[in-house]
Amino acid sequence: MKKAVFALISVAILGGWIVAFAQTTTPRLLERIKERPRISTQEFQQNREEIQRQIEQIRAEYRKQIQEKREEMKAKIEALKEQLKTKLRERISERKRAIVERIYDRINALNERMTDHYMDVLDHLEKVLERIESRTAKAELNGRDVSKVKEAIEKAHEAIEKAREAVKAQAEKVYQPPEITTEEKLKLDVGKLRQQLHDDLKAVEKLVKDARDAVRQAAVALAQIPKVDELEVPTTTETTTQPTQ
Amino acid sequence: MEQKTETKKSSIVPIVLAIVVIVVLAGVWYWARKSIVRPVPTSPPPKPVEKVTPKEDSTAAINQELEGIGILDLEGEFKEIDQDLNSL
Repeated sequence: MKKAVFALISVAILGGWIVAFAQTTTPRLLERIKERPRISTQEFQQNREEIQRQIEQIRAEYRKQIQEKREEMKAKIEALKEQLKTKLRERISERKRAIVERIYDRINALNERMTDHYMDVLDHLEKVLERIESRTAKAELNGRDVSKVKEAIEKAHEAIEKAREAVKAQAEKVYQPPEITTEEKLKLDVGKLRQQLHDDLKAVEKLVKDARDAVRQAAVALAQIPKVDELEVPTTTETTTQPTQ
Repeated sequence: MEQKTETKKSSIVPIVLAIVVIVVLAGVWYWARKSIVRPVPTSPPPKPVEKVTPKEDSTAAINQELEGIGILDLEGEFKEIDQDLNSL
């Protein structure tokens, strides 16, 4: 009985993991046409459009999740702001109180703005990578050796995914107000919070830049295929089209 | 002798007059022709220049897209916070 329960739980966890993985992993054109040595131009285009749609859906879901989390965070941030106000009222002059409150607002706003920006950059990179995949697939269908490009594309996908996870985690962070000790140490105390945000964003920025470099590497590898821009989907005698997934 | 010269003169005068009339008429004709507003010769409309846009998955388009992806300067984004911090 215990064994059966254990097996059921394991299957459920594994199933959940597979579903989660399937939802977040970017669909790939190269994988989809891997088993198809011959494909019509129409089918190729249909597959591309389908993949583009799926990517859009995944990204919309990703943004929706972050947006929902941000809505939840708003109330928490407001509560923290009230706590900060109380602390400041006890120890700090009115002029400086206003400045500290403004910095705390700006810290949260900057985090939102920068994570939005990084998400935009990653979306853009993903679109470019899809184009690289399309051109690579055409080269492969024409019998060219695309192994190096495929390897670079894989690395670029991994880098984008890694950056996405980091951006999501950063976007969902709630920064605690600074620990206020004395008015003399106010700059130091608030500076710690500023430095914390800076370091966190810098780390995310690095991953986004790594993703951009990885996509560049894939583009460079693609450009090394002779006359790659002249290659199109080879014409086939097949006229029937298969429905896409 | 004098009579001969007289007849010669009288035969030249109509010729000279005819030449003058022809020259005047030619001048009038030329002036009239010039004053007619000639239609401005219209040059054929320039052929639309075919802009060859590279395919979206061409290496040129891909590189162009990549070049356009900029990342904001983080230090610059902290400027306002740093100004506030310095006024503490």
